[in-house]
Amino acid sequence: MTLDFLIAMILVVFSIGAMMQLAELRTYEIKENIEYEDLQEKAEAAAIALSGGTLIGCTTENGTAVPFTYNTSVPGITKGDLGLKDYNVEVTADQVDLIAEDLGSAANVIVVDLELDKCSSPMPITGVSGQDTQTVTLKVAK
Amino acid sequence: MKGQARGQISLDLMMAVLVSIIVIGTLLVVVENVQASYEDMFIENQLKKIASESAAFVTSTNAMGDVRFTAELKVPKVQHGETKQAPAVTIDGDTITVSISIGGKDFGRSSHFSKPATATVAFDNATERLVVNNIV
Repeated sequence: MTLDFLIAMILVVFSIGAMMQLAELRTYEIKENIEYEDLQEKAEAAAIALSGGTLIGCTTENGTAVPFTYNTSVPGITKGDLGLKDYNVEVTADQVDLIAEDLGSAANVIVVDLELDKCSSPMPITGVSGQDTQTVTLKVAK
Repeated sequence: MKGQARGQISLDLMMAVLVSIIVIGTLLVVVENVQASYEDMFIENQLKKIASESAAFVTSTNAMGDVRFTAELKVPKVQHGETKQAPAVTIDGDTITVSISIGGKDFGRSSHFSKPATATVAFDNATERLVVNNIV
């Protein structure tokens, strides 16, 4: 067996190994993208749920939830209310933590700011002025 | 050629062929294993995406508030090789689980959702649609 042949075999093995490693990296990249897209979708859905009116919004005198409102005496909400049981979540409004968790070591964090009309329940139909707003910040991490 | 009859192959060539066969055989086994694990990962990724999208869809229906509505989502099929297969979707409380059995292997992924208090969530096997129904 010649030295040439041995070198050729070693090179073939190394090049195939390198190709496999590249393919593996690509797979992990795809996996990471899916994780991020998942986080983004969940954050968007949670933001929609938050602005829907039933969780932190006000209700009218006949009990109908008013979207895009923020009840100043909001009852407590949980991660489960936002469909985010598997995630680290932080929701703050008016420097008050509605949900407070440590997002410190998370790889990805999505932040959504919602500008909602401040109100208190029960609110009259003409109650939303659009003048007094409150920014509710939702942070979702994994 | 001295010491070597015509038509005879040398020991060097025999060893080279032997080494080539061993190296190629080992690589084929490794490549096959890697390919199988990639295929599994590909299926799991698809299931994760379907579960996540479905859960996000249900959570989004909170925007409808307390009005009467029906929202439907067509659950996509899982691709493996050149075929597509519909996954099984089960709903337990606030958890949606998407599972499939391919080549004797079972795969499954779950995701949590939130829904309006009065809404019901169900999967229609006939239409392969996730249905959120709020009858107030």
